[in-house]
Amino acid sequence: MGLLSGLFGVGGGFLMTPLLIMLGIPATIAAASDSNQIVAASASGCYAHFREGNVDLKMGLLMLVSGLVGGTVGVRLIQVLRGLGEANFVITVVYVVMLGGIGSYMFFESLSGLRRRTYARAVGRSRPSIYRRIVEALPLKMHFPRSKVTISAVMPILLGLLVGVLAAIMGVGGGFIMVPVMIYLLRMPMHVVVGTSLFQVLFTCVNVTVLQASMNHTVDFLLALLLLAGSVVGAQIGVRLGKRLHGEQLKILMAVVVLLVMAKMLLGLLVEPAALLDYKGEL
Amino acid sequence: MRARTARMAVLLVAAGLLPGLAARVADPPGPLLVDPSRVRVGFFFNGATLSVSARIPDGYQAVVRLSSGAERLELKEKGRVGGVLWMSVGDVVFDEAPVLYQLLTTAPLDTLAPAVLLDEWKLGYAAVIVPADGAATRMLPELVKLKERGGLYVDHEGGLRVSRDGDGVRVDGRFVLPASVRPGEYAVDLIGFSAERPFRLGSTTVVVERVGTVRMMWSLAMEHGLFYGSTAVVVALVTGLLTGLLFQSKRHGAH
Repeated sequence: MGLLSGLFGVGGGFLMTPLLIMLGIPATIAAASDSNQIVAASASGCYAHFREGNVDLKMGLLMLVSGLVGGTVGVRLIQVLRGLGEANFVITVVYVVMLGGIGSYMFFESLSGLRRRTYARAVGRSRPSIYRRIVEALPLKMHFPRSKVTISAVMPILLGLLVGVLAAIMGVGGGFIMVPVMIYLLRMPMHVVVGTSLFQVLFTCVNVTVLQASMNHTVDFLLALLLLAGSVVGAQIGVRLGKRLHGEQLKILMAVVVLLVMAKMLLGLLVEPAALLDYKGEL
Repeated sequence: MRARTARMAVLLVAAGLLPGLAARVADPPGPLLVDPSRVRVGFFFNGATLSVSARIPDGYQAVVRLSSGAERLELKEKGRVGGVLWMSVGDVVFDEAPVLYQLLTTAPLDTLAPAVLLDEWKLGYAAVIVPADGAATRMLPELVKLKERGGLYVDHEGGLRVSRDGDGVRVDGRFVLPASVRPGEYAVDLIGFSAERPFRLGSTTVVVERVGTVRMMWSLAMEHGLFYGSTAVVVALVTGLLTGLLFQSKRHGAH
């Protein structure tokens, strides 16, 4: 998981949490303890990327603040869904849809980049897309020197809010959603995306860990210690490995990982479970 | 005539009492031994094996039962919706279901005594699980499946090995506690069977308790959650940053 953190700028929760559940850890404890582990891995990776100049603090702070607001909304939404008894199903469906959509788009887009063919029209050679025209019409334009993009501040704020809601529903740091959002919607370069995403994930998981420990008592610190012992070292390796890979190669690797996790979760929805009863509150 | 009737009456009463007296005075059972009787849940706890041994009267069958108190259990029922997706389709409630229930027997339970006696003596899953309604009754086998998968419910036919030595008849067996066993007190009961009638032959308790670091962490997490969470975050941050410092690259500049 640390390797994924340093390589792709994700916390790894979208992989680690399902893996921990498969090992028999109760889902609520898996998600909360993994948040604690992600703090260490993302701090390790974020520091390394910061030293390399790959963290856009201005962009990161904007998305972080809106992400925290979105996370609060997402937690409230989960409470409503739990009251209706369908939280687990909705969470799984959101995972499948998000992972499937993001993974597929990243995979084919990166594949075309690697093969030097384009499915979409090249920028500047034809009329801007509807999305680009909407974005360019938005107010509050800001220049982000580290990312070398000029874009309305409304975009990172809105996207941060959306990511926060999704991250709260899915119980993850939000990195695997944040990275494609930054690449495709904010047009940030890949290596700055990784560091900036880790910055946002770090603070999101600090927030989640403290809230889960104080409100739900679901953080298993001993479990988190074991996980972080391996992940912090893996994060450093991931940063160094990422430097050797082209941006498109990184994207396609991440796309493959995301699609594999999606397939696993989809199987859980389609295949008859071993027992037709389950404990409440479990994923 | 009256004396003869009286003698007959005495003989009949004695005949009724004798089987019970025979069970009590002939081959008195030895103490029920469970080792270990205290299970310590520490940092490296990965479940525990409890060895059980006892002496039983000659000719008896036996059951050793390890059980916890019962609790109300609310579960989610899974069903297929639209012929495609498996999702929660409703709640299932059991008014009473033990957290842990394991049996070791010398022979299949249904051969030891009639069902009504097994029920009275709380032997068998159906005797200890109380469904709240018809839906729960229908899903009782699924509850057993769920608990058996977790190692919490076990019905081990033939799990008690019978042997004979100079002191009489002895039974031995093993209970396996899963790593997820809940701390608390568990009752261990030895029940003997003769002529399809059950007799309590011995009881003891097993205590499962958290110790050391695990106990300290548990107390902190439950009683001082904010402090515990903040400490966990600080430790994680320091660990992450220290690792970053240790691995810091000598290169400079952005990519």
